[in-house]
Amino acid sequence: MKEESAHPERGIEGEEARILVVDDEPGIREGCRKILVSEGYDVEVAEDGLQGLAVATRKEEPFDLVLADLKMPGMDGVELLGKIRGHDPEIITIVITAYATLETAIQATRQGAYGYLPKPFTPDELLLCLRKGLEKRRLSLQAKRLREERERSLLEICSERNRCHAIINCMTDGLIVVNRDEQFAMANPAALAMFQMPRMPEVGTPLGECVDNPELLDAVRGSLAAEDRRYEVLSREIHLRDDKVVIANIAPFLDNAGSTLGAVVILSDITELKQLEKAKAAFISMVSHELKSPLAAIENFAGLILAGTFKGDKAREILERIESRAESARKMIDDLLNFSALEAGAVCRKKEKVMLKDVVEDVIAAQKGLADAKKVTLDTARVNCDSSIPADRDDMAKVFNNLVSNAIKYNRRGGRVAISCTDDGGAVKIRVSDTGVGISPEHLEHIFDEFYRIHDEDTKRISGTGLGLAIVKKIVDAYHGEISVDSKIGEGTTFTILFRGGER
Amino acid sequence: MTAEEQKDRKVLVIDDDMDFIEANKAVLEEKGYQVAYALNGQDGLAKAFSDKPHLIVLDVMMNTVDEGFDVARQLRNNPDTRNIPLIMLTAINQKSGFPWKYDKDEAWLPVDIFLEKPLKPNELLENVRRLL
Ligand SMILES: Nc1ncnc2c1ncn2[C@@H]1O[C@H](COP(=O)(O)OP(=O)(O)OP(=O)(O)O)[C@@H](O)[C@H]1O
Ligand SMILES: [Mg+2]
Repeated sequence: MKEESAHPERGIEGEEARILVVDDEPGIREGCRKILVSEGYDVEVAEDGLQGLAVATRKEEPFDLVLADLKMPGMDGVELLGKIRGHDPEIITIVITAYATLETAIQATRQGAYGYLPKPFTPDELLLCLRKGLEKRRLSLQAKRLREERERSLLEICSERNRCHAIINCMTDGLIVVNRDEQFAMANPAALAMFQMPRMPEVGTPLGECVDNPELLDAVRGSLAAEDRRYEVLSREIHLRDDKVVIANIAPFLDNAGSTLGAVVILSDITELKQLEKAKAAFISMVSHELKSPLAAIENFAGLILAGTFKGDKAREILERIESRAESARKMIDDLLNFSALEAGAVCRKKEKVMLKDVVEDVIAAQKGLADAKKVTLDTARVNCDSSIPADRDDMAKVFNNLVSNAIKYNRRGGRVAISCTDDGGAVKIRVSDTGVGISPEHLEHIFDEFYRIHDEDTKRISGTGLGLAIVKKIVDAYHGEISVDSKIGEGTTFTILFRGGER
Repeated sequence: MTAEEQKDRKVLVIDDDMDFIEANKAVLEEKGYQVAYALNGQDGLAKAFSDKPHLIVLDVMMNTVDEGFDVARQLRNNPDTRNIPLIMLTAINQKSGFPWKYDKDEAWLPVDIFLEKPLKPNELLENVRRLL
């Protein structure tokens, strides 16, 4: 067997070329076969048109080239080759013809046959014609492959574009593109919604006509006019009609030479951020006020004692006030730190089985002084001995301390505070009730807000920071508990906390 | 000025901090002023209308961040209290640039003097004297 590399022209895409010879003359049929087989081709033969067609259109092992006699009984060569090309457009067809029918053969090549071979022909003539045909086949197969590749990549690009489109359209950030003349090029639905544009403006519309927002126009103009645009992204806050605030990041859109083609505007909604900023400013002003007040009072009082305005027993009383204000300032800082840690979720909780009875005992000990000073009795008769809860002991102590200290602070002289813990089927109910001043309904909804305090005749001399209940609420929330208040002015207040079984 | 001369001068102090009231009450009373006080804006307004003080000392921030401003506006809008001199106090440092919530268009600072807490006794007395 001959080495394949010696006849590279014989193969197509690395395989032996397959050739079909269709001729009713056995001499030519077999002669051709012998020559071609000896040259290493893969050859089949057929005796007439119909047989040839059947062989040529078989699914398996397609042919590269068909040699067909023009004049055959039944289906002639022209018809046969036409049908075969219909089946495989890249197949090479060659007509074998006698001189008498040369005219017809030329006709056949015009209709799509690759060439013709006039009879009689020498083996070299046959092979030469064949090689040319096969070369053509190779080229056209290659071209077809390239064409298919190009089509495939075009298809891919198309779907890539679709994907980009889908992404841009789904973005919650707004996108607007303008050319350097401030004319509209494209936008996504988020941008349309931000500027309340009812429909996609037409490409080329001046931006000023699409968007009714001087701030945006101004910013886009600024970006387009900027000197060195290469690295510049302009950021501008833009106020929308529905009270929303967006930040517009405008980047220049440059060609390869670095000249501006236009600008790309990305719009992000920062309304919530702005609200947070405001809340922060309000918080800072609250804190500075609340912290400065006790310090101012201390400074004032101390100065007046030094100046002799307050003397003797009065001075002593004022010193006590100083002490209590200093204590409240310090407590406030503690509370603030507690509160901000709770707020940030930066508390590590060591959960353990906390016996509520123990916590209440500690709290009673801590608050005894305060209660005695006001002749308030602390009643713990209804603290269930076995009630326990999986929690951080410090958290529970803070909850009880704040509720009980309030119940004493806002109580009348000689009043009563009742603490109860009950455990019914998995849910633990904690209750702190007092016989104090009560809270009126308009204040009730605010008492859990940080820094909220009630200033009236009953409470004016009671110091506090207004963080106690905010801390209690945060802790109860952290344990998925519920807190509620029930109060009657002049009669008293009851705080109830419920920790349900499953969630603890 | 002697204490006797201040006898009929009534000062109303409106502030939510009882200690502040007590301290300044002592300072003013030492000099012979009569001092009334209120712990919130609503009470303050009521006392301003009923007591007709000669001067009002008012804290900006009580229950709300700008309760004092509301009180000042209401005092200025009422013919009975319109001409009472007003000293406004704040615990917030003006120089810190904290943005006040106020309407620039309206007659801003419906008060005569703006002072900062803590207030030195002499500072208070000087300004009170100046306005009376
Ligand atoms: N048991 C109560 N009876 C009447 N009023 C109460 C009671 N508990 C709370 N309040 C009211 O709710 C307000 C907020 O309470 P909270 O415990 O948050 O702050 P505080 O007691 O003023 O200060 P602190 O941070 O020192 O506890 C109080 O100022 C008070 O007016
Ligand atoms: Mg409290």
